[in-house]
Amino acid sequence: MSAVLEDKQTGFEAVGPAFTKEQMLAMRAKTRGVIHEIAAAVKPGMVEEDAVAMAKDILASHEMFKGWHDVYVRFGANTLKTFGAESEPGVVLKDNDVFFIDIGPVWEEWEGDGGDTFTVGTAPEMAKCGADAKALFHTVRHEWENTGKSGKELYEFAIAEAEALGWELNMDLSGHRLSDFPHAAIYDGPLADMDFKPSPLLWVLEIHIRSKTEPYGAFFEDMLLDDSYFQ
Amino acid sequence: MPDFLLLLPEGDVPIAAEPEESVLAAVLRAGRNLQTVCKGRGMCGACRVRVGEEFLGLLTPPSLTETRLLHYLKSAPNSRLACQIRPLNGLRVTPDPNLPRTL
Repeated sequence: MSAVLEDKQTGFEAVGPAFTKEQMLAMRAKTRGVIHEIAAAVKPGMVEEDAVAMAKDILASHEMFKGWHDVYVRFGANTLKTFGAESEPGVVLKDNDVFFIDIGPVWEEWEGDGGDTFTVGTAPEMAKCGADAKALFHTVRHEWENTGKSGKELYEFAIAEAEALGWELNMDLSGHRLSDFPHAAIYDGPLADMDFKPSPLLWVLEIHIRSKTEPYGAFFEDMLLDDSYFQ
Repeated sequence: MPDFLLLLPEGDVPIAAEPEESVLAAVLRAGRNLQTVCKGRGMCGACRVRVGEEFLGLLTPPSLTETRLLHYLKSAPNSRLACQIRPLNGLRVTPDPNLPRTL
């Protein structure tokens, strides 16, 4: 790697004074735990706005009152919506349906970020979409672990892999930094713009895939970490 | 269009707000700096301001999410999130920086 690129990577991968590996991993565990707690409480017949309020209550019950981004629980066709977009209001989760959760809580000094997709009832195509989002996350993560690919190259790979699976990859959600709060003070842009191999523990890999013909999509995200953290 | 005052150490800045925009949006549109991490979604607390006491009862009351966050941040009783309030004529707001690092 050239000295210029090395300096650039050092800048993009800086951390704040409160950053520790242990606290970032602890925050990751809290975040993923809350995602599954929220998912278990989401039921068919629920209105999306009520699910978001419930998710905020659950986060508050874990003393996560603050977030570096909004709380998203998206139902049905709203799973096509990109990050930050307003959901269509009043969407009710059907008996056979899909939803995803995307949270970015801050606890004390540390940021978390996590997302996952769930289905209710019998929705095999939606379930496949959710499973493919998670599988694609791991496929790209393995590519990161086993090659020297840059952030840009990893997302080029992700686009091709999503296409091979029959999905469209939403590149508005193409990874980002995570750190002690606020990572935005270091770098607030996408991982897909980086021309170096991202380091572990500092980046979130996002995968948002969408059906090309039907009104649903799926989302999965977690920190870029090696296999030992996913057992 | 309501006009309000952003009170800064270097002097008071009058700001004309567009209809329906938040105090945060009006300040940023005016080219002044209030911090935000969550981009005005009421989650990060970075745009916290202190509001002139006489205006507190005139503003839309805080949501449960805002109330919890302000309490968690040990905010002063006259604190609000600039992204969650609409300007009123004559409103005075003072930035209450609470970020560990400057954006």
